[in-house]
Amino acid sequence: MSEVRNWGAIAGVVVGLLLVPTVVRALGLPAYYLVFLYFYFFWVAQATSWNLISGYAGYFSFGQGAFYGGGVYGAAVLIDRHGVPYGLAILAGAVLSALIASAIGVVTFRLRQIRGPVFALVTLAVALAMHSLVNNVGYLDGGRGIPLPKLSYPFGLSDVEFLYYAGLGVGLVAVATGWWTYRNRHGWGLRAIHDDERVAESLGVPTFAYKMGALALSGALAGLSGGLHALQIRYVTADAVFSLRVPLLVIMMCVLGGRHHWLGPVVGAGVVHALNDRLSGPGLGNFSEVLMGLLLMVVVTTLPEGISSHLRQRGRTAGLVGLGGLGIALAARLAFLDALAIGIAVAVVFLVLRTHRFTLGPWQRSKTREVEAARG
Amino acid sequence: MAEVLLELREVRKSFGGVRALQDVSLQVREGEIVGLIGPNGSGKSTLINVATGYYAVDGGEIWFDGVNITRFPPHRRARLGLARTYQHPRPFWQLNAQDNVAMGDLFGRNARERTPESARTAARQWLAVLGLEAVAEEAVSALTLQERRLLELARVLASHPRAILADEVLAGLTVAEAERVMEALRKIRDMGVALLVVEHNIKAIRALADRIVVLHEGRVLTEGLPEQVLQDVRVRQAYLGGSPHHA
Repeated sequence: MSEVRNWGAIAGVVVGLLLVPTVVRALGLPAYYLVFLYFYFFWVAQATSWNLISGYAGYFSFGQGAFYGGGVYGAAVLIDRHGVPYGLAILAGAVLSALIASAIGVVTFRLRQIRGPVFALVTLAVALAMHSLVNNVGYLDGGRGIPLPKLSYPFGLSDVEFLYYAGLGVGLVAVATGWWTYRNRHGWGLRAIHDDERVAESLGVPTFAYKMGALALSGALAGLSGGLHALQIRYVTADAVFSLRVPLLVIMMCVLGGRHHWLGPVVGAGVVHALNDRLSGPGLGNFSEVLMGLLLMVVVTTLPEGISSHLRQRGRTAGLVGLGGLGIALAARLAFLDALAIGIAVAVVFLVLRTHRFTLGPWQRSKTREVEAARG
Repeated sequence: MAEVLLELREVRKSFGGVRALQDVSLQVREGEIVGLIGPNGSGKSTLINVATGYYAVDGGEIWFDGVNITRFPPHRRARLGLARTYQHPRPFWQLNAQDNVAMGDLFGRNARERTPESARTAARQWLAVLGLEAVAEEAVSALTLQERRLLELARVLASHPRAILADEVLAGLTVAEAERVMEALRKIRDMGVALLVVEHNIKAIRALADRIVVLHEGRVLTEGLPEQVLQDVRVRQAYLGGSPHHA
């Protein structure tokens, strides 16, 4: 029964999201809503990509920029230099990033059995090397940037509408991949690798193949989403694409949302994107970074498993509290997206306070059980 | 006599200048508990690590069920039914007790036919066999040491192993707890599983093992029935120190 209800809810959300552009157009609402949501889908895809290898398997990566950038530049170069149709170019970007990821995997997992901080540094080094390569090779960029031509989209869609639908599609592909991997044998194996790779191996988990699979999938998703993003950026520059912004934000989203579950990046991307977007107005730039840093510190220390792991117990109440915050903010005549960010912030604060007032630390639980065991 | 399942043939392994295993040969048969004893540093843990593929051998061969597995990676050995437990229990901390055991079933000998759902059902049954059904939903961090030991056995059993290499499963347990774990080991043996049990506790190994192999300085010192082996002067010397000439 609950399975059916879950599928119903998912179908409802998807249909609702598909209708958003129509509603926006019909009511004459600002197109920025579509841009806002496009960026949410983009971050969901990037964060889910990171989570596959770094969250599920615990191989912390700073190299998201390499996979994302592979997609952006793969697509941009093919469109601009070779006139490849954008659909094909985006797919090629995904393939390119999957290949880059696989190459990193072969080197780190097979030739040298690297994990922990060294793996993080290797991924970062690859991203830095790609930045420098792109900046110095004229065919790729050469430091001038690649301006993309104005493209025409099917069904007379504006570029904002097209990007919305395509972004939604890519986001759904990413979430479906995260969800499916989480549930199947591959995801179980990745969790075992995360907790104790040696034990996993001795139980029969083919660790090399599973890590390669997760890394290649991660690369493909980031490349797909990056390739599409090239159309959104329109003027691709190496410094922006390979900046630390993407890897840092993606890590923050997953840590906030929860790294052990497919829902973590979906929730984390929502929180971080909504707040970040509202705080990036004129004069707020630095303040935004301070505030996001503070938020990350508070959530990591109080909800180390991330927000999503508390939603089952308190999600409904937190949602209602957040809606309350949204309502009050709207009543105070704030703009809708500002009110939304406030609602989300209120819900997160509620979760932090609520969780910390009423749970005992795990040490107390285990002690009770030991006492019981000793008595029995 | 029962079929030989695990066989080491003149296995050698060195770490730098330390020769941890020197031409060690050993057989474990179906439905038999072989005790592996020896002083600290005699190569017991290295032997387990070599047999399960964590270390590559420097020389010699390892056979399992008629297959030369010397070059197999650990997970392929596990799929054939060669399992191990760790001296200090190493559960998957993220998972509850049931899912820890399910992991064994999902990737074990019958991995191809298993799904996460069927693995969870099987895990329930194995937890019940070892008397852990009450803690199935508990986080592993909430389990006692004895429960974690039994959980580790349950996880390995769920993989339908043909042989288990058990590294000091009794260490740190009270007499009553050790009795319970030994009972579980006998149960496992009677299912036809071959067991190689590394143990420091001589009393326990005497009660448990069908046969004992003594390692000393990386070589097999002697092997045979528990009573014979434990009476052996050389074995006493190895444990108490000194050279056999003074015996």
